[in-house]
Amino acid sequence: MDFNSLAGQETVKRILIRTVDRDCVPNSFLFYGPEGVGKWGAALALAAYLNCRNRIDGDSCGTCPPCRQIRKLQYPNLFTAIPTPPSRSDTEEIENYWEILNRKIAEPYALITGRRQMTIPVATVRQIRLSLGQKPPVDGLRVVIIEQMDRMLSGSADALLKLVEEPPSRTLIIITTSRPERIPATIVSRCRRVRFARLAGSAIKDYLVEKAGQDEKQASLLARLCHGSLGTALYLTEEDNAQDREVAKLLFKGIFLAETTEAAAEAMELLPTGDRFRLNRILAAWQTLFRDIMLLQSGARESYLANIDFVGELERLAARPVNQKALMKIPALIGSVMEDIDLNVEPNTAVAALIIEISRRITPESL
Amino acid sequence: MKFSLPKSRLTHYLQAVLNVVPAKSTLPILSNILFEALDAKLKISATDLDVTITVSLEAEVAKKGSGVLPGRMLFDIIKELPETEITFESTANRIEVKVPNGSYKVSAVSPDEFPELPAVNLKKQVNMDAETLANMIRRTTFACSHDETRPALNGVLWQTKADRMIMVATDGHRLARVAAESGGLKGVSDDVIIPPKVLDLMVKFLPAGITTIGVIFEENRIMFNLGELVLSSRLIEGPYPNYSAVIPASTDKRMEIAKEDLHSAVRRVAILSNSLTHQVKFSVKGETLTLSTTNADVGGEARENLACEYKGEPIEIGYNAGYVTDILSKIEGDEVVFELSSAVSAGIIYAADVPKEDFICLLMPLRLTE
Repeated sequence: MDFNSLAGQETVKRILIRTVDRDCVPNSFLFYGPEGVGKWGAALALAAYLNCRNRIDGDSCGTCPPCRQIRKLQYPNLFTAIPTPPSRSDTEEIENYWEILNRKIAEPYALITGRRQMTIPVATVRQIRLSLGQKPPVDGLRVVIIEQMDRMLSGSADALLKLVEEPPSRTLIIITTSRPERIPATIVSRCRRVRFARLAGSAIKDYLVEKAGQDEKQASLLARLCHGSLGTALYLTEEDNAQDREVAKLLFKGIFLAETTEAAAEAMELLPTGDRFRLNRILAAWQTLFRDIMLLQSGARESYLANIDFVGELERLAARPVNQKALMKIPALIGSVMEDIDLNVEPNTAVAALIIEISRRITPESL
Repeated sequence: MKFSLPKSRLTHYLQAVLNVVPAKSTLPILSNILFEALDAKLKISATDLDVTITVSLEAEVAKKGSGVLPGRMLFDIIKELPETEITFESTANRIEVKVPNGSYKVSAVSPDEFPELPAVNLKKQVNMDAETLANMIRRTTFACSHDETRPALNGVLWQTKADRMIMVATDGHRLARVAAESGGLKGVSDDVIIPPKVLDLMVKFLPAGITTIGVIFEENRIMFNLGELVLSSRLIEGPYPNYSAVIPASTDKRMEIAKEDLHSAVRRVAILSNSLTHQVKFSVKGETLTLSTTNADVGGEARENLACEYKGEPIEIGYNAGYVTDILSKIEGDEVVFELSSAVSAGIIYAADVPKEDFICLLMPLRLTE
């Protein structure tokens, strides 16, 4: 991974390259911003740039041994901690770890998905600390990448805090997160923060066409749907996940048209409540659908919509009388339920309550 | 790459390098072994990133080159073969292992993906007395810590002071310090902290009859040149705590006792010690040491009296039985000396017929519980 192969994020690239060129690399970085916008890729690109033996035009060469090894996550001075599902044994933990890492090697923007709650085990952080107790390499820098640190349990965070507080020499710690508010303030305050913005639709579209083999039309639709997250766009290219969006559209229609209890019952049948990640993707799709309804009701042009393959149905739904003020609050309401589900709230209850609340707010009786 | 060598030689060296091939690792490449066919010489290397083993042996090399093969799989194949000449030949992305009755083709990894191995700089090599070094290692590595929060304690401190070299290891509960004539080491190296794994492997692979071994100090690593086999390890970053501050300068109680009697008695009474603390109470009064343990879980008690020479006020002190037996197993000679101050301060243990300066162990007591 090099800076040139990152989609967008020109400001971030400039900051990171300048930091290295001016030899003012801090002990730790906090890369924060929405998921799927290139934090992991940028961390690898920075690791490669720091350790590359033949830097060319403000980027790593991609061909020297450190560059090649970092690309395959085989570089001896690169340490990674990544959320994994709960494991029953060390062997299973390593298998899970590599299953996720192999996905990230094949596609750096791939989202870390899994049916079960994913966490960074405390043993991983301890192992990294043990390895960092040794003398650093003569050339280059050791780089530790903690991916999605918000998935870390408190024990792991404590172990990491010690590392960030007393960083070993010639070592850079890069923490990435899409939820910086979940990271202990004691760690955040010790990191130099770098914000990653949502990607422009054109950058996402280009990447999908050039690197993910999508046709122009499909790439254009995905770029609209992903809300600036290339990881989400790539997620939606998979057939099962695209099917989930169809479920989202169907249920959305049901919530708008059917009786509350019917909608809730139907949702319970169709929603993948056993898979928190997939469930949240469906709820995220609902957010975009509600946003489109609001845009249509305010007279926005079709080109501003995300769900351009659903325009006809959206126009019919937008024509129904609804409480505008209540409607505006629904995306935020969905967002808070997504947070709850992510924090291990029982999904069935959370979704049922959400549907009842949405239906109550948007039905004409509440006008 | 194409080379041949007898099965028995290959098995012997494969077994040696497999010592550092991790059974499970977060870096899959480390489960492989690097083969480098050079002029009439074969180099076999493996690493777990901390420790690297390279063996150089004579082989019939038909074509120079290198290849990386899965270590354990290869060893499992080779060890089952009858004694014969084995030929390795690389073809595209596989390596063929040819034997008289057939062949085995194994997928090979590109040598470029194997971690870079440290170069052996013979110009920096210092020759040292093998037996002295091995003895110092045997007496210290047992006391190393495994606590990742204090990395410096996870290694053995090797320092040179005037004409003496000293090795120290401690985990905060016990400490071992051994010293010897520095030989050729004086002025060559600063204090270094060495992971115990490479030291234990060095002792394990020390060829019988060898008198000197080569030691190479690099900025961030140390190497041991044992002839055909070279061991290398990254050093641990310091600083090492000021260990000398915890060694009591003076004590007012001294017990001398037969080492083997004490060793076996501690092992016996420890069977009924608390399974968590392994506490053994040492009660010394007059010319008698009483060892006692209690284990509330099984409702057991043990007590043994041993004759000893003792000077000082009577004392009762608790120790972890495991730590005591570890120390006693490292001390040579028939008699062992305990120098004590109080029930809550560190005691010194050393052999009666060896100067304290050469080898002492320090042991922290446990707070006595009834």
